[in-house]
Amino acid sequence: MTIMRQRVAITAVGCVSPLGHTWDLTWRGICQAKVPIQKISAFDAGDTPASHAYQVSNYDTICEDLEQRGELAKQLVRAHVFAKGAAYDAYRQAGLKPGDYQRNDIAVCLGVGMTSPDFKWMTKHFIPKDFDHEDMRYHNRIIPTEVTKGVAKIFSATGGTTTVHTACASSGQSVGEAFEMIANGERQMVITGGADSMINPFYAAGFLLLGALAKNSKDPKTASRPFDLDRAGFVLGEGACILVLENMETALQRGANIVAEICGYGVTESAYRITDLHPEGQGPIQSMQGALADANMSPDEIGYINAHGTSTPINDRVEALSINRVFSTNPNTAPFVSSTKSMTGHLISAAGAIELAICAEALRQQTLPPTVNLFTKDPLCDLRFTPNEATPFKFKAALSNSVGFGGSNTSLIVKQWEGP
Amino acid sequence: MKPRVVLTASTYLHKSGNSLSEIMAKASAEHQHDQSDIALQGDPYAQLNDKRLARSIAKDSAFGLVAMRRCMATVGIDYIKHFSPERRAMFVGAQVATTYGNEPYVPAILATKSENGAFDESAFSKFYTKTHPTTLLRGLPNNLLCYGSMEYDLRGANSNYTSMDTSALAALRAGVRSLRSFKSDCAVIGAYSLLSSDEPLQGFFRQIGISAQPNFISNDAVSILFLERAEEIKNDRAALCEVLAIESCSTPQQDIGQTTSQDLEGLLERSLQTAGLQAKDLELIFVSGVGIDAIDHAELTAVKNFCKKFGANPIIATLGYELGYVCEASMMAELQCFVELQSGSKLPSSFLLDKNAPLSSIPKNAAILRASLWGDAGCIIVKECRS
Repeated sequence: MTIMRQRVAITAVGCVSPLGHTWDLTWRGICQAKVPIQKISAFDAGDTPASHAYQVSNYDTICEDLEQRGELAKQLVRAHVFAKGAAYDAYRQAGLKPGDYQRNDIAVCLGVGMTSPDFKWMTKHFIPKDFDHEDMRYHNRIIPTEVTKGVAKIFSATGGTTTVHTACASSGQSVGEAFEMIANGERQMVITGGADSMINPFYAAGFLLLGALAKNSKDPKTASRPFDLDRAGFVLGEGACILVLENMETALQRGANIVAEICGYGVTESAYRITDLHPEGQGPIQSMQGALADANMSPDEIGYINAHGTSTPINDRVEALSINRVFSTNPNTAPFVSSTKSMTGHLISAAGAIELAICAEALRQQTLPPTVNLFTKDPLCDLRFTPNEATPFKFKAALSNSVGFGGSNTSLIVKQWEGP
Repeated sequence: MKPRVVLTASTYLHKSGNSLSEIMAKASAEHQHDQSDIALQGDPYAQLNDKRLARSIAKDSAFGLVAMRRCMATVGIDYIKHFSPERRAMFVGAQVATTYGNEPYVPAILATKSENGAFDESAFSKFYTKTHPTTLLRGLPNNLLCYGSMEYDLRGANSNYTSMDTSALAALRAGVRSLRSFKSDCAVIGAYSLLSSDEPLQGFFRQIGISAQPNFISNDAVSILFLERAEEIKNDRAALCEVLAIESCSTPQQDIGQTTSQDLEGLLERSLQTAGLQAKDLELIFVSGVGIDAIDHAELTAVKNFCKKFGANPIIATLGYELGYVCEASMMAELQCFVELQSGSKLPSSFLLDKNAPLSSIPKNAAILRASLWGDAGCIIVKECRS
């Protein structure tokens, strides 16, 4: 049975990332191969074995900007502040005019992190079981859907909000779901993306205990080194990326600026283990194949892959194997691959969104983003990389992978926009 | 023509009973249920008979897995094998617990306490190893999705929603969409909420005054549904009901309980349009009736206005008085109540808002309407499958 689908455009991207407080700054940082890792200041990390992270700098500045817009930023959790900052950036770029859309034709679908309590809250309320304190009036601020509602408010969207949590695959899934909402004709515009900050003592401890984080080294700037032979774990990042998706037809009618077209979404469960990928790539392989089938594309049409590429030994090896099972392994025709987590850190629930946005901008700019700190290629990760510097390249389509604890895998495909 | 998506198996666990049939019988005072036999009141790990899971997943997801096993037993393991693993989907509306998953950090936090009684965040880095290595995983909201998928080899489309009152709705919508677009051949829809023991959330309810409302009780519930395309049901299995429309709307305000009756009326109209029905086709409308004045009032006003506007005369019922507020598992009890009515069960009079207007026949169509405590409202339209 043939299903009629609507075409879906990305018409704006907003971002707050360790590379900057806007999408322009973030993309510029990618092109300059910046590594904005710094000593953790979001909490008192003491002598933690992983004392550096890709933090969003000048956090107070974002809060002040939001307060000037009437937002009560100081009451919000970090992920919410980032989401609002990114949403205002996207809103500005979308150039929406009153009447472009009915409010109930705009939905919001975000991947949001666990937004859990901080150390102070745990010691003040959780341990003494003081849940009748007046502070508890604001307990809803740590509920993830509050972040989604906060973004809906900026766009005056009343077409429903959806909050997704599948760990590191969260915003790959939220963008995929937003794409399907428009493609199936359920909504005309969906504000999507993700927001997260796991730079928190409990999460840092949790990841350390699982052996997933890169530990302190002499040169923290080289700690995140996806696909490098000496990689030893990921480095936490934080931030938010908001994408405006629109029905292509209505986007063109209102004269929107098209960044790229989303045309394929693949989603699978590895159904193997909670943290580990299946050694033979069960899950990611089918996710990439599903996205290609959804886009009605052949593997050789993909010029660039933004890998999940966490810099953990297992993820990068299995992802490389999976990519090689789906795409050409010929060094002259294989798609170029990079992991931009080497420049942003691992944004966890926001990772899929920022990495898809990077694919879309890379297509618009015809520039391949680099993998920084890729000095010695792991022979078990035999891919066609763009190490250490951005490279001009003509290509028409890109794919972004996400993989999450719990087994969810997503692949999203974007096409270059070449005009109506 | 869109493919028809139908429910072919379901499980509902609540503190009041192990199924909607039990809950309805109890509400009709036809059956005294043995409280000690209720799954949600026991130890989920013991019911799962898996000590490893006690370390790996928090109590809320464990109850989800208990319910999933019951539902899948109804579906039948051999039946599931009809579907290739890559075509089996799972979507879950999951609790965002603020209690479950945080307890294991407590010993390490306590170790940072200095002689003057103050906690020292910087010292946490010395003591974090007191925490179990899998603590972070234990509190993941997508644990039911993960362990349920592993247990039944569900390798297809999936997602996990933390959208509070519309989590189950989001999961159901994703499942229906996946089946209608032929991306999956069957879908498990899960939803769970263990509010009664979520102490921080209870504190929040007290602080904002909701707990003081006499009819408000937050409660625990778990729901699992199994969906298929009607045209492809195998082995003469019975379809229990068809899902015609799933809609939601949000209010951009940040305050709680802001859904207005106008929002809900519009939502009901849009849902009917999506379902391809007329207002007069609706014989039954469920409202949530969670006992929060502003919400109950908005729901009833919306339904009354809707009926007046279109000359409709449906029976109006609520399970809210019986089941309380179950957040992420919202709307699932009403859906399964509609299924029970299809098999001839009576709608207990305690569910009726107008006791003098009982349901005289088995309803062909019903709407499940819900204003939200958290800003999003939802509506599901279901249809009988007997004919």
